[in-house]
Amino acid sequence: MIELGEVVVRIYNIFFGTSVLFLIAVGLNLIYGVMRIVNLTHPAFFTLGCYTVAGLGVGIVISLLGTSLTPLLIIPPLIAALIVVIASLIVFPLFIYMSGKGDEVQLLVTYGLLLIFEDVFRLIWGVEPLRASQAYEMAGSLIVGEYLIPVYNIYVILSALILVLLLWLLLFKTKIGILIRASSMDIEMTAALGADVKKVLLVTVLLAGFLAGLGGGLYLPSASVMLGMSVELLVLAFVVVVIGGLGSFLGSFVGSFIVSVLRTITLMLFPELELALIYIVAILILTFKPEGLGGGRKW
Amino acid sequence: MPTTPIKAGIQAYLTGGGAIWGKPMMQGAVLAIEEINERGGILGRKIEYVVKPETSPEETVREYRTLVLDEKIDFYVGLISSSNTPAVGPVAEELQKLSFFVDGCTDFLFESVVPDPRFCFRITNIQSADGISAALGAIKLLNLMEKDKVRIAHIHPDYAYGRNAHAHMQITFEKVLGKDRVEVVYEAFPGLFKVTDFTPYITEIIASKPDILASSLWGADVVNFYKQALGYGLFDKMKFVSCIAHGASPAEAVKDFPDGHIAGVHANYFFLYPEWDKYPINKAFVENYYKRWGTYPDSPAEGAYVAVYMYKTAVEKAYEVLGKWPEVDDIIKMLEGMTIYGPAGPIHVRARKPNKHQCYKDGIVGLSKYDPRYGFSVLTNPVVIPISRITVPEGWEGTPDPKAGTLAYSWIRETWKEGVLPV
Repeated sequence: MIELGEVVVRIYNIFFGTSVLFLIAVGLNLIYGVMRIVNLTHPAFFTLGCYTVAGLGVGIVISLLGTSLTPLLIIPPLIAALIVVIASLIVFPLFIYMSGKGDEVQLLVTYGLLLIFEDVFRLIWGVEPLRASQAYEMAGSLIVGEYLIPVYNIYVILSALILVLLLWLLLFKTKIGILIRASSMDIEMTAALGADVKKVLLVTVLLAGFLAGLGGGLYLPSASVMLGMSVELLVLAFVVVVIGGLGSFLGSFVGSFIVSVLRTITLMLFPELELALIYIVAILILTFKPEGLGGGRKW
Repeated sequence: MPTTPIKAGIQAYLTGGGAIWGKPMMQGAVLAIEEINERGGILGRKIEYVVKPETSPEETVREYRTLVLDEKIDFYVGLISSSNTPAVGPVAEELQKLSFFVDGCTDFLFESVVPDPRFCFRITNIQSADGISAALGAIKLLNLMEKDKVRIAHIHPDYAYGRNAHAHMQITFEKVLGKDRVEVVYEAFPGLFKVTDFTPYITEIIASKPDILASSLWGADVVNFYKQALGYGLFDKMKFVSCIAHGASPAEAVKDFPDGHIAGVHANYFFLYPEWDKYPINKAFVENYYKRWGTYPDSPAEGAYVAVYMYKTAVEKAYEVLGKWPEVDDIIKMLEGMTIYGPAGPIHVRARKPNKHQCYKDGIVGLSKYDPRYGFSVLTNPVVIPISRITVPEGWEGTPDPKAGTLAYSWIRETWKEGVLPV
């Protein structure tokens, strides 16, 4: 017998999971779409966003504005996004260097960068898991039947929705967005038509960094950040991208949603199989529909 | 008598999720070395040390060989992971190097991998003691003997440690409360440090309506879990029974932890106990550790600290007998059967099988409570679990349980009386 409250909470969890995974996967897809680089460093940017909020952003906000909810909700994720954009700017020359090089060069450089980032985190923030859950706690919980759900997660879901909308507007309604999409379809032709492709690449890398930083910044108050998180997120992000389709905007969403639904269902019915089932689905999709379920690589 | 320095090899996790245990372990060992050097060393010889990283088993073994063969260490203090002690143990025997494993507590090490060790010793309590202590602590502190029925949910990390804790908590509940009174309503095994969003687990646990939630999540996993569980109101609906959540880095891992739940410390040590006024060794250790490292010691810090002092004590005792600097075999002879007083209390080195060279000390379990003096959650209402009552005694000749894989499991199944509290 399943109560209504249970169902509501599970659906709510699925939306939350989808939002977080989407914020990781969309940047990965964006960079692959435009630059054909499988950016293994990307999850480190999400982790950097988490670390920035826990180790810097929340402290700044509290010391300047006190412990009040609204600034804590809005400002730390933006600081995180800013820091990650700066980090992306620093590594951007490497992306130009890698662009057009073989897969092995890209894998080595991007994975090496991820490991370097992990060591930088350790140097700056040490080995303990870091948290800054003031916003999560202050936002409190809502009562749904016999259940409680944390309000902060609603904020993450709404923020992700707004970001999807803004991203769509940017990609489809602005000139730079059209150039990004054009580059993702045929970068040589875009260059031949006189577009400043290097600028497009720069915007793409910074936009992906911005989304990862903001994502990490939004996620952190509901969890903690620790060393090694980038590597774990990398695996998860790849499953999302395989299911949804590499380089696809819609695929980022579809993959995130399917992974979240699978998690909830397996944990409800046969919790021992959680990861196994997700990987089995990923393998099936790679075998029978290698372009993923997100309608192929298009934007 | 030689006057050259002694060389210690320290091997600890310095990166990744294990660093939350590795760093304090290194700090505990270094503190002991510095204290000893300040007082003139061991029989006049100062101790130098080299630190190498603990990582995957193959890498860890390689670094261990480097310590022994290239660095030419005299003794070794290291290891947190239960994957690494079974890998390094046989190598320690092969290279004949006196080695103190601080943790890596798996029952398999001395029950099957190195059943008759000469050179390796292990400081931490054996792994099975972890789950058994927590379950007994929960039964006592939550008065579970008075309940007609106890609904239990489990959540443990999916690797050897979590599986071991699950098996031994469960058999303890079943034996002591009686099989008919225990109902398992949910079990989940998330990968170690692989999950940061625990919300789907939390929802399923609440939906299964348990009385207690038994858990061996640790490090960032337990931090993420309880933080998110607070938002879902989990702690108002059940008692959380953790065998380890208060075990590492008390000042960091468990701020704002909810009050009144079972706080386990890996069946080893919490820095407030034994009470400082009653037991000055602990007071001195905590004060010196705080002065040196700016934080409070936890169980790996205490274990590494004890390991170095254990070496010192054995060397000095052997010297009293021999009148010269002892050979490694003389030191080992002194270690076997020795009891020394560490910060956590007396610790005994077992000399005979099963679990020869395993060290034993009483475990401790309590209730969690926020303490404004420290600004984090501490262990209160301590219940001491006498180790001799919960672990396989010297000379017991059973066989390991085929499913749980340990002697302790068979020993409980075969020798404990159902419905009787053994401590």
